[in-house]
Amino acid sequence: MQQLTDEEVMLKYKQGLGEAMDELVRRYKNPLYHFAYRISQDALLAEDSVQEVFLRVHEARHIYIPSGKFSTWIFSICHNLMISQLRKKKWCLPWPTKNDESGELVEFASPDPSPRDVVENKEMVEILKNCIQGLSFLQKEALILREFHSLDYKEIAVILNKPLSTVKTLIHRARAALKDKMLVYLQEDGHV
Amino acid sequence: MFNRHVSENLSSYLDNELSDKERLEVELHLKTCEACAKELSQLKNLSLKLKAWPVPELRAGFEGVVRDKIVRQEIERGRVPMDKKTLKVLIPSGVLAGILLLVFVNAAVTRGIQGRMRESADYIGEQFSPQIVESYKNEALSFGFASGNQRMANRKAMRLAKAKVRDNKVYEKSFSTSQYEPYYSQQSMTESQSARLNEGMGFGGIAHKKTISQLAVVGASADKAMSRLESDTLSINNEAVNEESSGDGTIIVVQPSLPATGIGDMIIRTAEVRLEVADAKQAYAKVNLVCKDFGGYVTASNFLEDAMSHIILRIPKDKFTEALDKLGGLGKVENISSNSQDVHQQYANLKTELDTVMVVYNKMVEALKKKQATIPDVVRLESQLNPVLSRIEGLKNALESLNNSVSFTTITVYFHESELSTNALKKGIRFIQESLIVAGLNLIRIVSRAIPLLVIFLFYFVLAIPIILVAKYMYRKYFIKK
Repeated sequence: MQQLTDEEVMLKYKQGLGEAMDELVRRYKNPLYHFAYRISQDALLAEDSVQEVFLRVHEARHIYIPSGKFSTWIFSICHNLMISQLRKKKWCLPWPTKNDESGELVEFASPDPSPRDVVENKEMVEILKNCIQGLSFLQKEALILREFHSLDYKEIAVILNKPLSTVKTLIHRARAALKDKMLVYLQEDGHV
Repeated sequence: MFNRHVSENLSSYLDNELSDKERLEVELHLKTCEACAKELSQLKNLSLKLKAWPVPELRAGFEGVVRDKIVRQEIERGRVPMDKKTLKVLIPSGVLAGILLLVFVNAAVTRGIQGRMRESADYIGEQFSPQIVESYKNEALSFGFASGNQRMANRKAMRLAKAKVRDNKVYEKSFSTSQYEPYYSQQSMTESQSARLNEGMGFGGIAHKKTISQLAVVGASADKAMSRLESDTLSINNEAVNEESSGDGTIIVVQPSLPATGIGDMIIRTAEVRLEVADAKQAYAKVNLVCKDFGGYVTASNFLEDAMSHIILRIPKDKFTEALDKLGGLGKVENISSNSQDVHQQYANLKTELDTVMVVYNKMVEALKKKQATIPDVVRLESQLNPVLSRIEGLKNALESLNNSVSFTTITVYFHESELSTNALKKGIRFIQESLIVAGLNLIRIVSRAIPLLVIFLFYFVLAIPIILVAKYMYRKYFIKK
């Protein structure tokens, strides 16, 4: 089972092999959990979301067709689930709209820029999390998928159901926004 | 061209998402542009900073949790949809269909029963006028239903009326084409015969009050009695009119002939027999045959297929006991009673009076013979003789009637079918068969009437399917998920 590709394992599960789901869970529980956690920044919600993703995989096993990469398919499921949960929870985040790629970033509470107050890495991470929280939903998703999951732009485009150019723009603007907000910390490390 | 900043492509360059041409251009620009190189360095540093973002570990046993959730969902999938179908679709649909079916069946059955009752009422109405039904109703009340139960009295009246209709049918059939036709056709009697009989002896006085069918039965005995009466009358006329010849002329003197008045056993016997028989129609025929075999005759009868019938027989007195035994063997004897009336004194008185009148008569005749009377005297004497002669005739008839009552005993036979007789079983089976046929026809009628309504119901049910699906979706969304 471990030698099989994701698509083959999923086909096994489609055929009724229950162990295949265990293998899929083993392979994707952490990537999906990390993705959901970084999006929601809520461990319990992220865990529930991952469980729900696997339930949706189970429900959709009969209609699964290995036309693309399994990872792309399961991340797209997670993406749709996160959107629905965001709408349900009414998070205080900007809704993904068509104007997301227009570059109008949302103002968020910037941490105290004084480098003296941010001396520890933990604090820097908190600041980084707050900065990411200030990004639009699609920018955040695209950046996380790229930075933490090493997915290429085409896969991200499939997951987000957006054109490739849009994905490229989303990632560029997300990085630019973060860079501007964290410019002090980046210079402090001597990378100026 | 190389002097233009490439900051927009730096992110893609960092992710290795540029084409070869774009990559070459960016690399050439970075060699000459310090600002873009600095920005690229900051982007790389940002990526490093992002990698430092820690993520908490998933709790142990996550796979088991997922597996349990899947199993639970499968259980819910197997149970909840069935419950939903049962609760939201099947039960309301079934209840609705059941209510509609009950309404239609009730309406159809009620209509069918009303139709049958109307047909029965029309049939009875054709046979009987309301006055006749009312008379039967009064009769039913007099039978013991006079306790105020008008409904039972009505039912009894209807049953009597129906029995009367069947009774008439049986007689009509018997006297027309049935197997009993040869027997009864010999006993048929015309109204003129009835009138002659009534005029002659007063014997069939009640006969002309019966129906024609009953007259036919009574005619069997009436014919015999009438023939006997006619022969007696002829004998009286032949014997009584004597031609007395004298030397001067012919004097006609009516000489009555006296009946045989040997005083012996002058007792009038009557008996009543109640029988329970298997087949009332066969019993009726057998009673008639017994009567014929013993040389008797039937004076009256009333045959009812579903009720108590009776026949009044006149049997010669010497056959009385034997006839009772024979009649008792026709069925299960419920009761036998007999009665005797001694008319010896009455008979003796009549005979004495007749003898006295005859003495007077004889003396008047002697005087008429001895006296050489003139024609006017003869006419006067004869006119005085007439009342005496009439009195003699009256006494003679009374003696004859008494003789007849003594010489022929009267036996009244009552009979009815037993409740568990073969005939009753046949009737019950026939009734069940007819009821089943009627029920089948009603069912076909109901189904034929219900089909269009079922089609309409299915039509609306199909229209309701989207509503049911929406309800199902809402149910799953707001109840199952939670």
